[in-house]
Amino acid sequence: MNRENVVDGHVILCDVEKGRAERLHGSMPARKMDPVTYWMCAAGMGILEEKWIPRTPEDLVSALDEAGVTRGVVSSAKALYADDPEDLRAGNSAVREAVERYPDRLYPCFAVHPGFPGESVGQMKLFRGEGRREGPGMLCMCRGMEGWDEEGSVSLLQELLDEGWGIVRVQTFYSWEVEHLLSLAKRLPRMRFVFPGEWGEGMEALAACPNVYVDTSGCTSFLVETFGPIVEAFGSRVLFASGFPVWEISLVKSMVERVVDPELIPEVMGTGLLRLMEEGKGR
Amino acid sequence: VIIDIHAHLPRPGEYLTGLGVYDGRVGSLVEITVEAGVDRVVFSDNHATRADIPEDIVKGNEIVEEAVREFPDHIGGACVVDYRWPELSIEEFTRRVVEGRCSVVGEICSYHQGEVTRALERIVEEIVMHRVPMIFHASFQEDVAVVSTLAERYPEGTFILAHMGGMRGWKAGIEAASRFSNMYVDTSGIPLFIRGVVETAVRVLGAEKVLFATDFWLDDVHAAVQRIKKVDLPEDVKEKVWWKNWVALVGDEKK
Repeated sequence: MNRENVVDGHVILCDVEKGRAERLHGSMPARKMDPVTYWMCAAGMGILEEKWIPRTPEDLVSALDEAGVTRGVVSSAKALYADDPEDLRAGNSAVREAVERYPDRLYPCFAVHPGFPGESVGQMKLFRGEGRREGPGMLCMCRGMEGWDEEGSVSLLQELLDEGWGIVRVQTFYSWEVEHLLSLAKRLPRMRFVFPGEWGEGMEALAACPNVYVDTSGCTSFLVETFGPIVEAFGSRVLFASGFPVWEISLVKSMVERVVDPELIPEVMGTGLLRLMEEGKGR
Repeated sequence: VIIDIHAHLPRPGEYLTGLGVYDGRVGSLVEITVEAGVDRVVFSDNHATRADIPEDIVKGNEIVEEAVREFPDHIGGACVVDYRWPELSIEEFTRRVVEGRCSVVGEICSYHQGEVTRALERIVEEIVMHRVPMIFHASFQEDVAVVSTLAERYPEGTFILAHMGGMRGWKAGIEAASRFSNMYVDTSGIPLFIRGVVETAVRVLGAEKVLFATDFWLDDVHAAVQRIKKVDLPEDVKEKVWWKNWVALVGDEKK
């Protein structure tokens, strides 16, 4: 396939310090931690050598090169796991700087947080003013949806829609979070939702929502029995994404290419996300 | 030489990654693994590892033995046991490994998480007595804790931690294997998916304690082989991971 169209929908800049990972590790029950948190803990707590941790945009671009991927949609771990508005600002600034440094290789994925709605909308207004609407905004719920405020999230997303941001990537990891996502998708049919999916309860209902897209970074295992049904249910609404460095880009790419129907490969590997981003910024 | 020490037999009608529906011919699995570059593969039956009833284990182990009988040069057999049925498990171990064609025990998926039960101990004691390696599935830190307890309690046993402990346990798994000389890790699952994990295991544990595995047919054998080929390690180290460590553990397993 045309290499120009291979887009990794989710790569993460690891701008978190060791103390953050240790705090997360200490505060989350083992079975409730998500893959990103686990990865950060392992990296931050020293078992992974520094050379495996993508701290800089150069590290991400190098990883994309190795895997034969032309572009990546970059998020900041600090913003994804924001403890306060300052984390959100710092993480989003890091994303902006990364994209400025590699405008032809990286798309931004700025984070928004239902816990900090004023700061989130303020930053999106700022980025919109700079003309940076080519990437999806991200509603950050990485640390689980405990204390989930649906009305607050709907209100925030509605404001983002009004500001012209038409795509949101929602971090979900557990079946009970899928219910929340389903509710959001139904209440905001104009918003396009991307989520990292693994087959489980509630997936059929999500697949029935035309404004819900699934990316491949959520498959904590690429078991045929969990990944295959996702592909069958979502069809061309499956988007290639690795979640690097949590998952290795080349391996996820190779698996997706082997499982997905050859006719859908171009769509899944990049053109689908590019079109989605184009549509999402036209509001 | 590449030996995949941890793979699973599908049942007819099940879907293989990128390869379509399994027609029940073990020969087709041999072709797939050979095409991927694997010279020998140790299969356990996937249904037996998730048994609902004791008969699932017997049937699964029977299928594995038959596959070994049909392709002795390419297929090795792993006998599934289950702590819920200790008597049956010991019978199966005796029949399939001590007297039969299987050479190892695993993948042991069903055990009480976070706790070593007496039933599991009884099975493990029998296996240790015959000095046969055991492959334990692990996804969580609690699973790693169980295997660590066994490794400590039975120093003459050989314990292989599948997936290095899994997504929620690989860091704990590598650390545990560094504490026990009789605890090894395999590369299937998470270590294949996360950059630096195989290299980290080799750095922390030494190359002698890392064994190549794919978890085929659940995961893609082609992708797994290619991934390890790209791992940032010297070729002599990779040779240990590919096959030498396994041969050192089980010798000539062909029966």
